Amino acid sequence: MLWSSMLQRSSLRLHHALLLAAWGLSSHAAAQTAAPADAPAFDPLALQVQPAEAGTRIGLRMEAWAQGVDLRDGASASDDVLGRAVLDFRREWRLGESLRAGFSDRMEAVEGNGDAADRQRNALRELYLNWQATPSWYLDAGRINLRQGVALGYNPTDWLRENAVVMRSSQNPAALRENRLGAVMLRAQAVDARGSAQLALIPQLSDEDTSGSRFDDQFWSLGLERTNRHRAAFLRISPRTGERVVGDLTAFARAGDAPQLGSNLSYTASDSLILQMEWSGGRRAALPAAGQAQGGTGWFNRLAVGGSWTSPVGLVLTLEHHYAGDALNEADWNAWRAVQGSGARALGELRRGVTERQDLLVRHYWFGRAAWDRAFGVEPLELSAFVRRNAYDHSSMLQVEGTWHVSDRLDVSAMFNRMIGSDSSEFGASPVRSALAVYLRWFL
Amino acid sequence: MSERVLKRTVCAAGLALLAVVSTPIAGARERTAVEILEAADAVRNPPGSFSVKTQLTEYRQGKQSANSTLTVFAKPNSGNGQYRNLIRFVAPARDTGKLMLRNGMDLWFYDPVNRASVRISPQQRLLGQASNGDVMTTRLARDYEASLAGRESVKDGEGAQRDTLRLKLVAQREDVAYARVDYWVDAVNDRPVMARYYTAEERLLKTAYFRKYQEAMGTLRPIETVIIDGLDSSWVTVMQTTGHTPREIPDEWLQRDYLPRFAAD
Repeated sequence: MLWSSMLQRSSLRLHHALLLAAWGLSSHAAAQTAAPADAPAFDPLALQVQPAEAGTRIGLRMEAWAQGVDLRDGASASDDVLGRAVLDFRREWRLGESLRAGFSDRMEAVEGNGDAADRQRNALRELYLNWQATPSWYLDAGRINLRQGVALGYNPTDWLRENAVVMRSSQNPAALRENRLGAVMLRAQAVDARGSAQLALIPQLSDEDTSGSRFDDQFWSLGLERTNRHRAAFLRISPRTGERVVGDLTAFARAGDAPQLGSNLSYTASDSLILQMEWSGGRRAALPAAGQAQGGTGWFNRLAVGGSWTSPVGLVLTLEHHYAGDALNEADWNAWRAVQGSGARALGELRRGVTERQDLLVRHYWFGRAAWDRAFGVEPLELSAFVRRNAYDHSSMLQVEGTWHVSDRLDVSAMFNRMIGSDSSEFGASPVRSALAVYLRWFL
Repeated sequence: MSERVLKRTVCAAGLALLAVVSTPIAGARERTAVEILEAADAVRNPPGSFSVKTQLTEYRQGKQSANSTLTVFAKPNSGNGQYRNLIRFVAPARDTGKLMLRNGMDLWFYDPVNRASVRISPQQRLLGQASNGDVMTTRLARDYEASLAGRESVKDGEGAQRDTLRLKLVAQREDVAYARVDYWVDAVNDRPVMARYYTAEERLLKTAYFRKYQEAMGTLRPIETVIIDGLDSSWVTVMQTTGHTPREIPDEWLQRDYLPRFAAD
């Protein structure tokens, strides 16, 4: 309780401090355009630049977080003050003329003011060898994060996203992609002036029972049941096209499931507008309606379509519509919202599975994002925000983040999350109503 | 000799002299604005494929406010002659390893942290005050229609008075950073001296001075560009280029799907 009230006071102070900082920055930016009348005349051509020091980088990033959480009334016991420490390492080495090795690992520890949220986890994200067999042929073997898709908020062609995220310090789709586990695979790629083609073969390396989306999340667990539970094959062909239209075709087959097809298309409509579409389709099982154990099987399409516009001041606005034909329609979702007792537990299981697979719960969503590097003309300030909105129950998840680049190697950030909606809505039902985090990042 | 014969002789001699004097002028015809612009492009850009290290240092009120270092790999497009560029971010540490690929309207930004290639618009800036076009190697003669606006004496970036040709450039493509450019080129040696960049609405965006000419890949080239904001003259970016190196740049380097594999220094 003491911690909680301290945190609330601290959060309030921080909130006020952020407002003051924002006001100060805008004043600072305005002041920069008007030099004092008695200042000596500034001659830009008299500037003499010193050569930048060639700093070395070992590939290590350290993070320290302080996080306060506002829990929903009646939420199960959980901590409302959290500390988080992260060691994030990523590096490649050249082993010979045509051989390289890569290693990427994230060690994360969370401690709460109770015991409920305490968790430590090491995620071996990538460990691979890369061999350039000929000038245009490559072979890779090992654990590789193979990421696909042109959309920002939902990637139906990113086949290997399912179950790959082990820790969620941020709901930002970009952060989720950053923190996920790669899949163990053997991959061949041909790339030349005509474009690229790649084939990846993914072996089954775990026979753990993962029903109910339960995984082995012990500290040193490799998480192979998350990434290599089934044999699979992935194919991607991306021919070189014109300057404006860029596209690819992908296919994915996994043992026990029907093959899936997909495509990404992007189009530069003008010098400031990019339109993009990401589609996948195939036979699969739909999400079950309330009271059912399993949904019907059929051909379902998934789609993310939208565009990004760059404003004259550098603010980039993105709007996307997300669709999944296998997700719940409005009637089925309303039926799920009304269930009680064991049905509510089933809904919890359903939601957890959807979250782990990074799928959609209902068929239609809107996603908006704003990103502004050097916001208000202030060089060290970076602002971003995104919102994901359920088109049926109108609940939303909002995240706002601000980063101040203190130096070349240090960032200070503040992040605020808010779940908006009624208690029975998708996002309003989250046990965490809002969260405020302040964190430091060192780049070494 | 009669007076008439004398007059004819004088006229003939005068015509002959005029012919002699005027012959070299007709032989060295006036160069077109496009030819002058192409010559200035050849001063700024080394021939063929090359790499160059670029340091961007930004100042506000004379105080350094940002700094970044990039390596630019440039290769002429065999189709239209314009350069294709691949930029690797070297510093600051938070940006190390990021890549930007440009082939005309086709721009990609790659972040090794999440292994994501994101398509970006030509207007999207990743380099602060400097536009993508400032940093990347470009042939202005391919993107702009040039006309000769006159001959002017201007002060260059090092304070010396220079006899220049002023070119007026109008964009022929929508993906270029500036709708219109006034470009001053040294009348003697075609070296770019300064430029003023405007929006389509004729608003001055920035002024650039090309200075500190030094030997680089066979000729004297400007290794420093001072970019001054059009609204706030105390907002300045100094772009320094060093280490011009001719190098083979395979076509596969300039493919989006190659970005995760790119490892050249």
